Amino acid sequence: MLDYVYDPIDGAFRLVLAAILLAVAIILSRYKDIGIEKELIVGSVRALLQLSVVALVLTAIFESDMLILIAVMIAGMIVLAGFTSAKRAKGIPDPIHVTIPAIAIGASTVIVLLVALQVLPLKAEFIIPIGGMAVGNSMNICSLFLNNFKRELKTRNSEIEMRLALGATGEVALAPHMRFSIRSSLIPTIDNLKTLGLVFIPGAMTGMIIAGADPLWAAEYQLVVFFMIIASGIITTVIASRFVRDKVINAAEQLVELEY
Amino acid sequence: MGIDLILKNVSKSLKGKTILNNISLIARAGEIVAIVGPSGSGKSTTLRLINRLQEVDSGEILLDGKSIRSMKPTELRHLIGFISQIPVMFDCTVLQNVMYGLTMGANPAVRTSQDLIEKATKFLQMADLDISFSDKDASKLSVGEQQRVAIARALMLSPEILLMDEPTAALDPVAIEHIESTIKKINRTTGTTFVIVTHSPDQAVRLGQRIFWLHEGGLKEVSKNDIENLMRGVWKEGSKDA
Repeated sequence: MLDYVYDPIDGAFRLVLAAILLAVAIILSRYKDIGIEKELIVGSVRALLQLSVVALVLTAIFESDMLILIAVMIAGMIVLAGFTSAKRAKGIPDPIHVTIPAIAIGASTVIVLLVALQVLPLKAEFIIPIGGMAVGNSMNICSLFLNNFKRELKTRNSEIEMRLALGATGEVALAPHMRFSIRSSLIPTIDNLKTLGLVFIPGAMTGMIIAGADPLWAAEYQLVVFFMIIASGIITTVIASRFVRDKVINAAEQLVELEY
Repeated sequence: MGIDLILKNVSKSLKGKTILNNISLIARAGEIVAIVGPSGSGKSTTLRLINRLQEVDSGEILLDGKSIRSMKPTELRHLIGFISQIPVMFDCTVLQNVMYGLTMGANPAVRTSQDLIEKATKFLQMADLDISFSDKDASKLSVGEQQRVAIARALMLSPEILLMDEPTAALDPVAIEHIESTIKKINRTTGTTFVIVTHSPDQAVRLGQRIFWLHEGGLKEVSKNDIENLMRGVWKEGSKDA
């Protein structure tokens, strides 16, 4: 794909030039008294350090191409994504018991399936970035689902309790609220799918085109990525809904009182 | 129909505050029992303990001599109907709302038999709602009409006991009178045991065959003459505090 060799000095210079945009954002924030200058600076320094470390780790993994390293990297992403998503479930007891298994099952099912169907080659260069997309999107969808579900629990509490009072099991009493929360959490992904290529050219395709790949090939991979995101998202939310149910309904089919 | 309900030395605390302290109550089969108390005295909590939407901290609740903890919660809640203060309507027609306890929200086309529709219609009429209400959107009805739908929905499960949490608190005087006469009629025709909680001593006198006074965690049976004085005492205390 690429016909030139990467020069780190040249790269650093380009990065400094691009940082002018960051400076513009900081100046605007200061000028308009928005108050996010410190966050922008800290966030950018963190991003620089994180991406540098990731780049070094990826280089080492790509060179070794060891399956175990690929698995460890994906597992690390899943744990981090699980902790991040769990922050959206504040009030639900032990939310990482919901988010980590949901994201792990959602993301790994699609990755394993794509490799088994030979859509993706079993190579670190493919598995890690595409796996990262699956994990990242599963995390976003899981966070949206938990956020929506918490709101449903809070605002539709009397409806849920009335279903229980009419003899419904917790599963039946929560079902409409689970369905609504799952549907809502998938809206941004489905809207992106509908406007794919028209409103925006998404990340994977952009990256491949910049790297010099045939746009048709880039489009093909982008569709693979999107199908994967949708499948992993639905699997993640379905699993999360199953696990979160046990956190909010106890064995006596009572709604557990949550501290929001 | 109707079975005995016994609360034996029941206590319940919420967020570190004692709500019910060692209360006992017996409601005999077919009786209408009224529990009166000021706001926040634990009336709703008492009902939620009876249908096990909440758990007692100590003590026991018996239905026909059998502890409610030994029963499956879903079966228990078929035996004990529940009417809330603000009627909760599901997003469907009146008839589908009434049938909910038996269809559990499944696609009505799949689960609804003619027998079920006839049964629902019968209970709608028992709750004094005309058959023409059947296909109306339940959420569009007045609160009084919704409360009747809620009563019909609870009756669909053929409950032995009906718990009512301030069933007329959100209604105007005409609707209150209407609901009260419906309650008496259902009690007379089905023999269902009623436990009604209310903050109104007048309503307790109108409806209750026996009246209990719930105040500061304690519950005691009182006469129809006493109840108004007790409530007046609480109001006076409240106005002094203010």
